[in-house]
Amino acid sequence: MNISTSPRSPVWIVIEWVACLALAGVFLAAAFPKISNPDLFALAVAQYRLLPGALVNLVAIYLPWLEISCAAALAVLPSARRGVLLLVAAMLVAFTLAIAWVVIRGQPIPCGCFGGESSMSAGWVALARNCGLLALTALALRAMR
Amino acid sequence: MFQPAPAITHMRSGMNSRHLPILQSWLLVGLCALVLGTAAQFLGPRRISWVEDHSRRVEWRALQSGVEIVDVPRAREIVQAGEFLVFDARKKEDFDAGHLPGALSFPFESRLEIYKELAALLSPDQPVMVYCSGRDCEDALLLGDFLREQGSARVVLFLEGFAGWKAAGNPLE
Repeated sequence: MNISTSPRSPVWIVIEWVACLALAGVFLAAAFPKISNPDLFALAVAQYRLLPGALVNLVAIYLPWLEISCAAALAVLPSARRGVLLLVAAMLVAFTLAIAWVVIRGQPIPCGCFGGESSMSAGWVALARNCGLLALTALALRAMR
Repeated sequence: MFQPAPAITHMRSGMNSRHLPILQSWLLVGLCALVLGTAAQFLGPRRISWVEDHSRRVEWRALQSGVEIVDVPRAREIVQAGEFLVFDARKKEDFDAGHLPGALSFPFESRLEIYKELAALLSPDQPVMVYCSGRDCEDALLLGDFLREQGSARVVLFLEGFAGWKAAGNPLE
């Protein structure tokens, strides 16, 4: 049995919980508008023009539930946090690259980050917010070490 | 003979917690998402089709709502004749960066305020052409619906929008 006995600083424990709960809150807030209006979210996904047409609605159907599952795991399943945080980081990197691609193309489309009705466009603000969330994810992973 | 299965136990957080292997965590949340998403698709109130052609979605909606669609040559005629009011439904900053000659900025998101400002120009008989960024943006269609609700009897949609106008080499303002 491999037992790690080195105590972790309480500060890191608090940071881990705060960061995970904050990420869970953001992902829940992002998922519910998408679920309540999947039609508009599918359109927002399609407007990125990054996915084959056959995948657009599948992403619109399953992505919000993946966000909710990740949020629930972060909040109530500490044993799964490491893997879920890595998955959250991968999702955030993918979202950030998609927004960056749109910014580079100068294509004025809605971000779709908080559902298709979200008034925020895919631009620098959305990029900065995603980078902040990535930093928070990295902090949570560091706090778990 | 019977050895306990190896386990990774972390006592650093002050409590005994067992970390799920990363792949198991992914499998867990992936399966949850798969089950919940599929259940929502079959049982939920807001279902969408599994596969959809989004490239013609706005066009279909326009046809369903009975809005007349105009192509680039007709849009050019309309702009040159000056008989129609031409409304750009994109955001103000996009309008400022370039728009169709003679167009007025009428962002869909600010429709109520802008409508108050332009109400004097908008008699029911005044023909109106609306456009936004291109074939897959909905704002022009939504603005057209809004104007028809306010009483405009003749609203046409320039479906190709700004992208189509620019791609055809037409002048910008």
